[in-house]
Amino acid sequence: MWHVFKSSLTAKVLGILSLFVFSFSGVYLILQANVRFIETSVKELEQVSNKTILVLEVNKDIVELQRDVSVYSQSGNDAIFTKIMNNYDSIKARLLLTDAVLSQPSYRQIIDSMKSIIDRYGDNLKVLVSRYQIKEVLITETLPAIAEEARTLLNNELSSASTLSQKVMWNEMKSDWFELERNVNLFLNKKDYAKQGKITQGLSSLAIRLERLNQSEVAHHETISRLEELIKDFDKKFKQAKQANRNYFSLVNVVMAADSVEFSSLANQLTNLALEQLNNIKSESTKSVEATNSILTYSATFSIFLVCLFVTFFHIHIIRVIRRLTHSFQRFITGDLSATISDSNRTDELGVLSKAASRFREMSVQLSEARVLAENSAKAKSEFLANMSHEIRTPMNGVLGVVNLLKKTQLTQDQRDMLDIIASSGKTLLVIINDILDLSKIEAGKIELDYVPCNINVLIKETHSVFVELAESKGIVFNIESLPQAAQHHYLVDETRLKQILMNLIGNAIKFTESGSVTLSVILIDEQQDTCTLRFSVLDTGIGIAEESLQTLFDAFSQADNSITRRYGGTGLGLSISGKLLKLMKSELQVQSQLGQGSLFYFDVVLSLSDDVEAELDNQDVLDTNVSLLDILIVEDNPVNRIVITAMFKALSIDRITIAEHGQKAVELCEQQCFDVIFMDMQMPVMDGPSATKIIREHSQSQHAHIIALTANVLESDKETCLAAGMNDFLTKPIEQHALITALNKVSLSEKN
Amino acid sequence: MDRRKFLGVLGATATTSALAFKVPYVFARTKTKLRVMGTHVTLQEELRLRAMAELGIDIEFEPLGSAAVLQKAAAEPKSFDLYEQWSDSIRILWQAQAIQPIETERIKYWNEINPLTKTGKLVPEAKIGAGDAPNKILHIQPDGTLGTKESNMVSFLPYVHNVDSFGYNTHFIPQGEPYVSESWGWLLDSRFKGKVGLVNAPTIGIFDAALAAQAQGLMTFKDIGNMSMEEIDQLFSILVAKKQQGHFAGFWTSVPQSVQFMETDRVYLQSMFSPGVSACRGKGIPVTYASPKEGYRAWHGVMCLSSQTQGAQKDAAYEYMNWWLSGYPGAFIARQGYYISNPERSKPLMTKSEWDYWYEGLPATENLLGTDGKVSVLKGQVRDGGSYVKRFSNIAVWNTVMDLYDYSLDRWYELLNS
Repeated sequence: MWHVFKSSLTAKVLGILSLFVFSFSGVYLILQANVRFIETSVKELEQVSNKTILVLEVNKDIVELQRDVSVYSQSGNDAIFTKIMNNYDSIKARLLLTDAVLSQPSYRQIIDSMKSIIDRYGDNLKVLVSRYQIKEVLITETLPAIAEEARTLLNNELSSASTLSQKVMWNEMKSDWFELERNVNLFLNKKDYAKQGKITQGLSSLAIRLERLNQSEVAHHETISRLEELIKDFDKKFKQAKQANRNYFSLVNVVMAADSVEFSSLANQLTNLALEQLNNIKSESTKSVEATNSILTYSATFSIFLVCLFVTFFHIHIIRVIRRLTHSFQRFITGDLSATISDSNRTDELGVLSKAASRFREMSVQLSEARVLAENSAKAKSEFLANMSHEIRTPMNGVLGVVNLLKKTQLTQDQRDMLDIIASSGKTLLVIINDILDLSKIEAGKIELDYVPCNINVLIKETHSVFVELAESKGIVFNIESLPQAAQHHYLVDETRLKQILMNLIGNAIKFTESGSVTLSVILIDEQQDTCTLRFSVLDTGIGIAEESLQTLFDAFSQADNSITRRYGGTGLGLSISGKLLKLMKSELQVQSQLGQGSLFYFDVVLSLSDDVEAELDNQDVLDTNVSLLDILIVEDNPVNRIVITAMFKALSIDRITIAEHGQKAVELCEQQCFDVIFMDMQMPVMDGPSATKIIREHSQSQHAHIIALTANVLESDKETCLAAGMNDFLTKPIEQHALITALNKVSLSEKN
Repeated sequence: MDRRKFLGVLGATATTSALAFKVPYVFARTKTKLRVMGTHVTLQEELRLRAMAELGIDIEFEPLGSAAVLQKAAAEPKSFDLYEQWSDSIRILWQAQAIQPIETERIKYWNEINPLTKTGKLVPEAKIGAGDAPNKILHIQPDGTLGTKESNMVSFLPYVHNVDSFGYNTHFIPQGEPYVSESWGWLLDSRFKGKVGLVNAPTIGIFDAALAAQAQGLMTFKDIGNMSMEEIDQLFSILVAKKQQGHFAGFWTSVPQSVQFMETDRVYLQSMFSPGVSACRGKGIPVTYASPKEGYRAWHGVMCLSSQTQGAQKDAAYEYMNWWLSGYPGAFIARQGYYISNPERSKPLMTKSEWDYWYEGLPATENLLGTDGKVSVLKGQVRDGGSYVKRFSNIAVWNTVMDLYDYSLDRWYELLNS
C-alpha cells in the first residue's frame, strides 16, 4: 500500500482527496447523529411535559379529594362520599396511566410510593364511613338517647316532688345534667377540649347528688338506681364517643391527611424530577448544539488546514520539484550541464522525470564530448591541411621559382619546352592544392571575406583578359557584358573571391564548350539607397548537363559524369567551392542547363556601395622607382626560399638585401642596422617570426621598419597572429612577383605619406 | 423460610420448647386461628412461622402503620385477638374498652419481668421519664382504671421496649458525641433546613418536636409528658413557622418509608425507629442513632388481648404471649435492637457477641446479623448510646397519650396542612 503511495502521484493526490472525503463524511455522520439526538430530545421533552401535566392533574385531584373528605367530616353527606369515591377511582385510573408512561427508575420509585399511598388511601376510604357512623351514632343517637331518658326521669321526679327542698334538689340535678349534656356536646362537636374537666366534674357531681337523694327517705329508689346506671352509661358512651372521634380524626386528619400531603410532596418531587430532566435534556441539547458548532468550526479549520496541506504538498512535493527539474533542463539547454538534478531518488512519476533528466544530462555530456572530439578532429584536419599547404607550397615555391630563374638562362628549345611543361604542371598542381585548401578552409569555417572597394567593370575586364587567349585558342568567342555607366559604382566586394568564382565558372564554360561562345555578363537587378543587387551570369554553348546530374553538381569531388573526369580532367572541386563561397556571400549559385545545348550559371549578390574611391589601388605590376633604394632584410630558414626570394628581388633591381637564417639572427642584425623593410618567415628554428617581430618593435634601430610576413600558412588565424605581433603585411608562399610588387608599392606609398 | 432452615431452627430450640410447653393442648383437635394485629416492627414472618410451628396453631399477622393500627384496634376490637403496639395506645384502647385484662397468673414468666415495666426504673438510680411510664398504665386498679398499684390483672403483656431518638446520616452531618453534643435540638436546627423528617404520629412526633424546641431554647414545658393547651399552641406555632420555611422534608408513616427518606437523601436526619436505622446501615447508609444529651424518648411495647376474644382464641393468645417471653423471640428481636422484658431467658439463645453488643454496649467481636439475616453490625462497632442500663437510665419522656391529645391531634392536622 505504502509502496503504491510512494510510487504514484495519482495515489498521493487521491489519498489526500480521500482524506477530504473521509473527514467530511465523518463530520456529516457526527452532525447527523447530533441532529438525531436533538430530535430525540425534543420528543422526550414533549413526553416529559405530558407526564408532568398528568401527575400535576392527579395531585390536584388528591387535594380536592382530601378537601371533600374534610367536608364529609362536617356533614356525613352520602352524596359527597359518592363524589369522593368517584374522584378516587378516577385518580387511581389516571395513576395507572401515568405508571404506564413513566418507566424510568427514578420515576418508578416515586410512582410506586404514590401507588402505595393511593392504595392505603383507598383502604382508609373503605373504613371512613363506618368510622364516621360509629362516631355519629354515639354522638347523635346513643348519648342523646341516654340523656333523653335521664331528662324524662328527672322531669317526672320534679313534677311529682311534693316538698320544696325536693323540688330544688331535682331541679339542681336537672340543671347539672343539662350542663353535662352541653359540655359533652361542646367537647365532641365543637372541639372544646377544655370542657373535659367540667364533664368529669359534672359526672361526679351528679353521682354525689344521687347518693344524697338515695339516702333521703322520700326518693324513689328505682328511679335513682336507673339514673345511676344512666350516668355510668353516659360516661362510658362519652368516652367511647371521644375515642370514636379520635379514631375518625386520626384517620382523616393524621393518616389520610399525611398521605395526601405526602402525595403532594411526591408529586412535587416528580415535577422537580421532570423539570430536572427537562433541564438535562435542554442542557444536553445545548451541549449537542455547541458540540455541533465546535465540530463545524473544527472541521472548517481542519478543512482549511487540509487545503493548506494539500497546496503545500502540491507546492513542495510537485510544483517545486517540477520547477527544479525545469530549471535543470533550462540550464542543460543553455549548455550548463553542471546543474544539479534533485529528487532522483523518488519513486513516483517525478522521480522518473528526474531520472530522465539525469539521462538527458548524461547524453548531453556525451554529445558535447563528441562535439569537442569532432571539433578537435576538424581542427586537427585544418592544422594538417595548413601544415600540408606549407609543406607542399614551400617546395612548390622552390620548384616554380627555380623554373623561372632557369628560363632566363641559355637553354635549348627542347630544354625550354620541357621547362614550360614543368612550370605548367607545377601551376596546375598549385591550383589543385589551392582548391583543396580552399574547400578545407571553407568547411572548417576558416574563410573570412575581406570586403574592399572595387570597380566591377575593371574586375570583369581583368577576368576577360585572363581567359581571352585560352578561348581564342579553342576557337570560341568569349564575350563580356559590363555594367552600364549609371551602375558603375564602387562596391564593397571580396574581390579575390568574386574573381575566383567567376574564373571558375568561365574556366568550366570554356573547358566544356567545343564551339560557339561563352558570355560573362553582369546586370543591375535592384538598387536601394546603400545597396545594389547584381546578377553575374556565365552562359555557354557547351555540352550541357543531364537533369539527373544537376542534383549532385555542387557536391565536392563530383562531376556531372565520371566520364567527364576522364575526358576533361579537373578536381571536381570548382563548383563546390564556388557554391560555398557564394553561400558565405549570402547568395546562391543557380544553374539552368540542357544536355547538348549549353549551360547558364548565375548568381545574385547584394553589394554595399562604397564612397572610398581612393582605396582603389593601382594594380599594375610596376614597381615604384624609389623602392630600389630600400634596405631590405629577409628572414628565412629555408635555403631554397632564400634563393628564390633573393632572385625575385634581383629581378626587380633591388640590391641592398641582407639575409638572416632565423628570428634570433634577425634581432641581432636589427640591433646593428636600420632596415626599411623586413620580410619575416613565420615558422623558423631558434626563434619564430612573431617573437622576433615583437623584440624588434620594442627596441632596435629597425623598430619602425615595415615588416611583411612570409608564410605558407594560409589560415586567417596565422595572419592575425602576425599582425598582433606587430607586422604590417602578409604574403603567402609561394610568393608571386605580382604580390611582391604590390606589397613593396604599399611600403613606397606609406613612405611617401 | 425454606424447609431446611425451618428444621434447623426447630432442632436448635428443641430443649427449650420441651420445657416451655409441657401443658397439654386442650384445643388441639381443631386448629385455632390467632389474629395478631400490629406494626411491621414485631409482626415478622420468621416469628410467625416459628410460633406456628412451636404452638401448632394458625397465626395471621396484620401489620399496619402506627396510627392506622391504633384507630382500627380501638374501633374494631372484633377485628383482632392480639394487638401489638406501644404503651401510648393503652389508655385509648382501655378507655375504648377494646381490650380486656390479662391475668398475670396465666403468664408463665411473669416473675422474670424486670423492674422497668413494674416500677418505671430499670435500676434504682435511673432518671424516671416524663409521661406514661409503663408502670403507670400496667396495673388494672380495682375501680377499673390503670394505675401503679400492683394487681394480678394487667392491661398489657410487657415484652419489647426500646429508647428512640433521631437518626442522622454522617455523610452529611458530622459524627456527634453521645450524650454530650448529640441533641434533639438538631431537629429544629436551621443548618439542616429542608432535610428533617418527623414521624407522623401525634403521640410520638409531638415529643420529638417538643424535646427539640426545648433543646433549642425556644420554649419550656411544665410537664413535657402532659402539655397544657398554651404549651401546645406555642409548640405548634414554632413548628408551623418552621414548616412554612420549608424546614421539614416529610412526615413518615411507616418504617420502610423512613428508610426510603434516608436512602433517597430526602432527609439528613429524622425521628427514627431502631429497625429503620438497622435497615439503613444494611443498605450502606451511614446512619448514627443519636444519644441525645436531653435523654431518649422511650417506648414500651404492649401486647394486648382484644376485649372480644374468648375461648380457644383466648387460650391461643395466652400461649402466644407466653411463647414471646420464652426466650427465642427476645433473642430474635434483639437483633433489631429491641430489648425484651425478661432478657435473661433470651441470653442463652444469643451468642456472646450478640449479648455483649446489644445488651452490654460492648464492641461487636464479629459481624452480627439482623432479623433479615443480613449483616447489620460490623465487627468492632459499638451500639449507639451504650448498654441497656445506660440507655434506659437516660429517659426524657415516654410515648404518651396526653390529656389534651385531642387538641394536639387537631394542631397536628394543621401542621400537616400548613
